[in-house]
Amino acid sequence: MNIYKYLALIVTVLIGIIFQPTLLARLSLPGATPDLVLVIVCCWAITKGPAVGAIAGFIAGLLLDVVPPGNNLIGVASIFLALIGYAIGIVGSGPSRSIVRPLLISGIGATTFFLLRTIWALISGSDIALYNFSVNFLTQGIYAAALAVFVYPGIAFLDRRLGPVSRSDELRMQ
Amino acid sequence: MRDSARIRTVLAVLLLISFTLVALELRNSGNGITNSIRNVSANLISPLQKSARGLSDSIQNFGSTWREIRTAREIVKDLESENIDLKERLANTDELRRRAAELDALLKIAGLGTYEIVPARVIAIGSGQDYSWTVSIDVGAKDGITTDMSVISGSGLVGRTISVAESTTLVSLLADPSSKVGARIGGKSELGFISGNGLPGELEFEIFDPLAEIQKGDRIVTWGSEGGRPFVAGVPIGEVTSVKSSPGLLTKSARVKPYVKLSTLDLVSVVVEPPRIDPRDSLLPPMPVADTPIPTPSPSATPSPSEN
Repeated sequence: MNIYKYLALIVTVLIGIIFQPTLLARLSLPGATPDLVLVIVCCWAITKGPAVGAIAGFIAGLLLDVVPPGNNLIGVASIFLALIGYAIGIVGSGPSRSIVRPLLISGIGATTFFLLRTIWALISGSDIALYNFSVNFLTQGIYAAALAVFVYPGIAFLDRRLGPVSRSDELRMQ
Repeated sequence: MRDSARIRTVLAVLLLISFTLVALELRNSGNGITNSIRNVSANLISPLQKSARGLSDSIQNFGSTWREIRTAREIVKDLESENIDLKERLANTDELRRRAAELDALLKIAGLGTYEIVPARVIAIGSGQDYSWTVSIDVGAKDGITTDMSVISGSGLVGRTISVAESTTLVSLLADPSSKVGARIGGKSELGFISGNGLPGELEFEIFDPLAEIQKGDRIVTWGSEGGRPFVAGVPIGEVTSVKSSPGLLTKSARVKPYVKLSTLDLVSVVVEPPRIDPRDSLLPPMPVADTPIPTPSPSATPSPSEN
């Protein structure tokens, strides 16, 4: 990771934060809203491993809670997402030519995140109805997998593109 | 391995920062440093979200226009450019007309209750994945909005304002689990609470009097808070869909379907000045059949032409 990649990471997470509530939430698809932010975190974790996964998750979680319309306790989503990014980096990173693995991993990541947030809502004592839980749980995974089809190649491309060029820049600076 | 130890340190540091933030916010509970972080981020990111929202509108318009272009090309080449132009204008007027209709509905409800309102558009919709239902709207402190004002739309109550930045405001919707609204059954004085449960199409109505008479189809309006804040009186909320029989409990509860479709909000308005007199039931949509105590076997015999 170099400075350009960290910038790219922040920009991609911001894109997720901006478009998820304005565009994806407005589609009003059946079930859950597609979780673009989480898919972006997953894809960074898959391409760059656990440390970057945890950092991406931390930044994304922080922004999710801070930027309107987010209104939760600041820090909760960043704990969940940092852990998810870290776990995915440990389990799912490494070279792979196939798109199937990132797809599956994003689906599992999204359902895990949803589960964690449901448990958190129950623990923190909000009165929530759970009739739609199974539908939301399933659609969450399916939409995340569908988004990963577009997001993963994009982030892998950014990673390749920003790789060697900026590393030599870094060496020159030292 | 040295590398994995470093990675664990990174994770530990990030988690520590997160826990510190949680602790900070729990201690300050809504004011202090976390609140100013929220305001700064609202001022920085909301303009971007506003333009993203505009972009999504134009994508929708473009999509419909593009389909028209392709059929036009097959039929008459010469008319193509003219056709695009006209269709595009048409697509735009459709959108404008729809918005005007919503505004008309808003004005009507505001006029009937003589509320003073500030109209607004919804910028971003909280996805409800964390069970909190919040939206941000494009008016803020510079338009005279403060916290704890009622937000209504053409067909009824939407929610209340919970935090105000310079030019955007966060609105907590009826479906939010933290939302509680004092309400009564239209035409009666039975009091209760409407609360959200994290689902956009369904609210819980808890009536204080366990012997109160309530049935399917009863309409619920706001009771109104002291000084009209956070909730002004007489705003329609929704219709009872089922009554839960709960013998032995101190309160009676029912399920209510809100009049406003909370998951697809667009134009709303913030009530900045409540009416001087309580509008009572005058804002409820007209009953489909004559107001009789016995429910008729065929529910929607005469569909009401007004109210969308």
